Amino acid sequence: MNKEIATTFAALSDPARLAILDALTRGEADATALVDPLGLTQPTVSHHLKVLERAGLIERRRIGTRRPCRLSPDRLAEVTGWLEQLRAAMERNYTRLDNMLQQEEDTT
Amino acid sequence: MTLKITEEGRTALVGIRRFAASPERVFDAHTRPALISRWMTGPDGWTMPVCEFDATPGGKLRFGWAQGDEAFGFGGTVLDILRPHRIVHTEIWEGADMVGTRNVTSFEADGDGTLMVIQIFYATPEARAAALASGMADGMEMSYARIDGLQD
Repeated sequence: MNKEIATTFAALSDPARLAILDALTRGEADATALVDPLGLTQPTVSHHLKVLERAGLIERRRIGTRRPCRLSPDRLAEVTGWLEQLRAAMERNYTRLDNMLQQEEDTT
Repeated sequence: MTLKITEEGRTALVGIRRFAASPERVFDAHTRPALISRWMTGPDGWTMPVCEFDATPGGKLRFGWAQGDEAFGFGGTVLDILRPHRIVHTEIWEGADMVGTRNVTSFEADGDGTLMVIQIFYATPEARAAALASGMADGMEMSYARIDGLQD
């Protein structure tokens, strides 16, 4: 689980791959359809798509010779889940700090 | 205002939190061990037996939590400190196979309270990715599980 998430975050830490994911939020697309709008070469797009697929962020179907790509919502939800868990862990500390500051106020 | 965390650039995380107390008091709560150990106690059921913070440039800090045979913690160095505005320090999780971070914490007066901004800088995008996925998670996995349980 953790290793999978690490792969996912590594995949997300690249501007070109974020741009590809952004493009895919508008719907399923072939690699060739992503080349022009992103200003990347075909091999570069192919490489990034492989990384994204390995990270579980996108899914690719096979229709004849076409390999259309689409976002895989489950993994994206897991990613935001980890940030939220980190936030929740830190927030519990800060809530305690709120209480401590309040108590000091009462006693001073 | 509860904590907000966002990714900044390729290597940083930024947290923002407001407290209903002056910058001096919030700063002291972050730099005096006797105060730190009262709120940075980790998950319920855990104790914080190690809490050291030398609030001078070059000073060392060390925090550790334990429950039974299990323990985790981190150490670091204070790089720059100016009461009540700013703390710059490094943090390296003990036992975790990851590089450390450089944290810049600022405290600014906000009405009758304090706005705190924490910037956590990782060495590389991969380090941030690994930290989000495993570093903090490994170190605090049990606390997360416990928090999940508490939220049910």
